Amino acid sequence: MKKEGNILLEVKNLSVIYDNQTQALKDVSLQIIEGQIVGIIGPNGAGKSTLIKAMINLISHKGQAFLNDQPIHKQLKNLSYVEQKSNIDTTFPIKVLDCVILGIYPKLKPWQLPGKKEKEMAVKALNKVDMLGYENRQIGELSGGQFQRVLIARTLVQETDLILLDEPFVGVDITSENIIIDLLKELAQAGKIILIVHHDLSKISKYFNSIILINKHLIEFGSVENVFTAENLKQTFGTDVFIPSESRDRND
Amino acid sequence: MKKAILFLFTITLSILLAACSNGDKGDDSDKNLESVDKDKIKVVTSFSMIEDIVKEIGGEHVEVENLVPTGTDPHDYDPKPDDVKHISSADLVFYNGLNLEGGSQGWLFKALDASDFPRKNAIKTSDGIKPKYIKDEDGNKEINPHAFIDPNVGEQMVRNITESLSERNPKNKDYYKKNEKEYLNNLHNIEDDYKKQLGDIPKKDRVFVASEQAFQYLADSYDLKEGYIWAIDTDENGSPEQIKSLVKFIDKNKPASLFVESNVDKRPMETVSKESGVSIYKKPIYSDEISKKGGVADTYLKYLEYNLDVLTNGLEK
Amino acid sequence: MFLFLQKAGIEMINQFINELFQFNFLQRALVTSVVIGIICGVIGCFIVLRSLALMGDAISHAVLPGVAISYMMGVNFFYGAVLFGIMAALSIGFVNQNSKIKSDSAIGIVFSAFLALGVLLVTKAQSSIDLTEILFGNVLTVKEQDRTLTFIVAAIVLIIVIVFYKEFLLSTFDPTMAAASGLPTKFIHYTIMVLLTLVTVASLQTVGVILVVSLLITPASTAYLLTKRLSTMILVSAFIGAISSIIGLFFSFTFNLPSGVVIVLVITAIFAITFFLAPRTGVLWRAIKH
Repeated sequence: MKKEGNILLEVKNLSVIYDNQTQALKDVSLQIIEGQIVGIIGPNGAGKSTLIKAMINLISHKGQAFLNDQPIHKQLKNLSYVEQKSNIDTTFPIKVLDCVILGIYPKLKPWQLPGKKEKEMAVKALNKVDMLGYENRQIGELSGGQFQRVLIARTLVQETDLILLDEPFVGVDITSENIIIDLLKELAQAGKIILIVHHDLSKISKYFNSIILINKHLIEFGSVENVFTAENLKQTFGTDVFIPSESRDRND
Repeated sequence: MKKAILFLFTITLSILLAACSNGDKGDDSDKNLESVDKDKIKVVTSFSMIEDIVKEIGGEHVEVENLVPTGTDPHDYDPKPDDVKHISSADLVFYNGLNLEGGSQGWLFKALDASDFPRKNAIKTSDGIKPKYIKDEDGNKEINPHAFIDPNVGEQMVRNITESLSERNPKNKDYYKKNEKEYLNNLHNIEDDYKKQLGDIPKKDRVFVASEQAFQYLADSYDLKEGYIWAIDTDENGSPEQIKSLVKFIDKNKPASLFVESNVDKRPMETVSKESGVSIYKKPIYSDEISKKGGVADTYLKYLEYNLDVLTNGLEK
Repeated sequence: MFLFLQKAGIEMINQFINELFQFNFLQRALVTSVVIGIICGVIGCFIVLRSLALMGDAISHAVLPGVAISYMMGVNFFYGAVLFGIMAALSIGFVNQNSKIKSDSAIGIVFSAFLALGVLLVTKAQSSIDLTEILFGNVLTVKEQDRTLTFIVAAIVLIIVIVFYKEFLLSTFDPTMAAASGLPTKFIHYTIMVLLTLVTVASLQTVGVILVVSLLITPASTAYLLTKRLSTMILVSAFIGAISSIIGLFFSFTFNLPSGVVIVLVITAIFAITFFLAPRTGVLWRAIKH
């Protein structure tokens, strides 16, 4: 149960069915305590993104997710979701700073426009992801890694307990990747729960404290040491999987 | 916030501006035309036939601008900027009426309203003429605007025009009256010709077939039996049902020839001709309008004479 | 030669300004056109960025039966048109969500049906409806009632866009984040559809059913090539809509041409110039840079 000051994310029997036919996700139940970076791992079509979207009510589902003992739809202001950046139209007329300020919108009233205070918050966030100086660039001018950092900055200003990221390390350069993962670790230290849909099997131990192995249903969930085994991976991916050697390295 | 206020201010301003520019349309209760003490008055006519008559009566004391040029349908006209400008500065506007210019919701009245033109200065030249109605096969009833094909109607129009010109510009009243006398002289001769020549045709041969039921006023005045493909000008011109119906009429009444109007699609009548075996008269008849300048029927009087010629020759057996 | 053109041009502009003072109907036509140009420019930005251009075109055609029925019932064309425009938008949404029919097909199916119905009704009602005016507009003969309705629509549209600017921005740029943070994205979509319908119907007077889409899409697309922020894009688009109306009316009055089509040609010319010469995005500009 919920300890004093602990954030608890609870998923109860989450199922998703598309078009009354295809079962995309079956009966997933989990409990995640505070201060974790959790990786969601599985083959293509396993329902990784589906899991997150169902959790936060973006698609219709059976079962429920709870944050801090409350159903998720009552806690939307307390979570932030960063979708796959390829889904975002970067030709849209919006500058970097304004993009970050979008994260503050949920805190503002409908007719309230962001002012000096909000701008300062956004600049601070950009500083944390090392993107100072890019405030007035249109987002289409950024590289993949730079844009991902901007999206992270946007998440920072939201100041939420739960952060969900969908494939944040795809098409991202090494510098950006390191900046991002350091920041996420900082957030986890501060007690946030971070869920990341990961696109492959690289750097698992570097990034994550625990992992969720999923293939349309929950296969296993737990700490990286316990769960990230050849046996489990074979069950998840259906075949013998080649694990890139770097993920066997201890991270320092 | 600042942006918002600026926008709201702009909008309020425009609304006020718009409200202000809607001037008083003037008091319509006084039906008499105010007199204009000019040597030459500005007149706008709706279509070419009226333009012709007004020029004949008004002569050197009128400056005439015509709206619908020959070849364009006065029913469906889209007024251009110059048209509305002319209306704005006109002393009188002459129109046919009987819904020729689209009726009270039509383009002409809209243009009059847009230019704040006082309604009393818009003269219906068909005033005093009893309207006749045409019905189509669905039972829709409509006023037939083509009264002017009958020269007797033309006479009424000429008198209306002269009266309005005289009332509006009394300075030149005698001039207008003189022109009217001369014009009516010629018109009376034509009316006599119509009576005599059409009267000379035996009643059973007085069968007049054209594409549209436009000639109703003429047919009623001179006792012609009228056959037609379509009654009201819609997109149903020359449907199989209409053609069959007319062919039956032709078989029953045996006209000497069929007539086709100058400004309609010839094909429906050609089909009727083939089906019934009666040929189309070699020359077209004019209904909706006079011909272009230099054509055979480019004035109202010539139009009447020409039509009479076509009718009598075509109906001769 | 150039000097001659310049002199003739200045003379024509003087003439235009004189006539503006002289003729009331010109003033009213100008104000109406400018207001319509502005609101089309504003809403057009959202249409372009949400990829609803085809939808905008469809709604402008789908209002025809509404106009016909209004005339037949003796009611102002505005109400019938808005009703049918909204019905069309809802029908398209319905087909989209309840079948695997692709969205552009759904649009084509619904609007062609509405358009056909409209033409049928217009020909049946015959004499009282001027089809040319509905299809091509004539801002010179706009009735006072309709002008007032246009201003009311303008006020509604501008107020809503200003007050809910943030929500429109977020739901247009990143609908996923918008939904995730609790914004009612479906409601926002239908609000924009309603605003689009209102603006389309108001614009029928200037440019008619056939060309409304130009007024909605071209100024916004031109602004899209020129700006980096949505707020700037909206302002530029509204400005282009307004200035095109003024220039279009100038040419229309000076050369006695139908106003609606001339306005559309002016808008297109502005787009073409921008397309080739805009800094950063212009085709020629980029070619020269390389």
